[in-house]
Amino acid sequence: MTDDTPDDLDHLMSIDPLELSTLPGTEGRRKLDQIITYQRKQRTLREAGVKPRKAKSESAPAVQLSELLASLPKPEPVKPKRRM
Amino acid sequence: MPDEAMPASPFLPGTHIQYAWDSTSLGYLKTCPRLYQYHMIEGWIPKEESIHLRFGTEFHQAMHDYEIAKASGMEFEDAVREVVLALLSRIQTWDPDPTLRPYSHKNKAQLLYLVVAYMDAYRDDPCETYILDNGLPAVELSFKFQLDFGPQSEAAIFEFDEYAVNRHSYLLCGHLDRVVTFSSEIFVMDYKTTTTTPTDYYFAQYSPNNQMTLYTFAGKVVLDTVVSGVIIEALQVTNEAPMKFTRRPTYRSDEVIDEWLDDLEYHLANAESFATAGYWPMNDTACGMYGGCRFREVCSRPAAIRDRFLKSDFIQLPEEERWNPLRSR
Repeated sequence: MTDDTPDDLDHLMSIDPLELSTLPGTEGRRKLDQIITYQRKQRTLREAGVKPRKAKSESAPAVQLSELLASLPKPEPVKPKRRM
Repeated sequence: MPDEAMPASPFLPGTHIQYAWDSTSLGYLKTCPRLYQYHMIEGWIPKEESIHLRFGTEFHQAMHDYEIAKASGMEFEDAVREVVLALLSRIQTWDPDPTLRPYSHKNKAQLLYLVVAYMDAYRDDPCETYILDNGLPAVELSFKFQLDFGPQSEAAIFEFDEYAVNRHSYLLCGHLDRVVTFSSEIFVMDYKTTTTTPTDYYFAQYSPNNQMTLYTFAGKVVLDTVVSGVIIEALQVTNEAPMKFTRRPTYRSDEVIDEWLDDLEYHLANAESFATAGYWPMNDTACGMYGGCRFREVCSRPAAIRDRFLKSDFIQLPEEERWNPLRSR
């Protein structure tokens, strides 16, 4: 378990992906920054030796990144590229 | 099917003689002709392969987006935002099967973590992306060029008259992840994901190495300049410890490349003879390489019942979706 609270994940989940934007001064940009900041915080926690919490646990609401992204516009299918 | 134009077949018409080669298909052939048959000729892939492919594809695309943003003069944090937003949009419909073994390391959350961590780690990258004459950064640089030899089969003849017999030459194709300048030398950079700590033993696998020699050769041909070798960018993808990134160069002299090309002529002649015979023999000394061949269980069964095992554990891609060195990006 990590020491990040369920509130962190709840906060991430509360972001509406449709409103994400890179335009300065927009609410969407602020929300996008929150996602990036969340990733950086997770890294800091790992570097501190804190194991990341599982996506689903008994003590926290189930959180899936896929749910966060569910309402984004559908992209074109991506062809896989193989690397040896 | 995506709207991408259907690439030409890498095989001579009506045959299994491959004339367009990349490091992947050549690697299969050199490792084991039966492995080559299963992948390249018949289109079988393990079910879990899709996770590795998609994870790698998305990371490469993110790095491509990042380099383009940097080359356009964008500030670092703005570039990170652009990359993350594009990534989130692309992976929205990606639904990797959580029951497959690679899922714990290669899923959406891990991908997002990796991309942000990598950009942060190399915010001030000592390796500078090579800028092409057209002003674009040399990332995801596709190459395709002819060799001075080709298949000997009559199927390779595309023009014949009283004056000349024109034959298809072999083509070498592929994509260079990134070309960089480091310490006044030019290198191809190639991203490799690994779940283990990249040690000396890990990096030793890249010399000699089919892909890295081909990429050095391709870099020289495409850029028409001296390329010292390949910098291996080992991305340690972990799901608990911090992800670590380790670089190490592997050098290729002209002598090494010349020998590789000499050997290539023999390997491709073998490939043509296998295709002509319609039989790709098993190399049973390679089954344990790289942690064990994915087809090991299949090949360990009697030939008569192998199809049953292939169908239960693998997916046979339709012809248009099979690995094709001529497919563009």
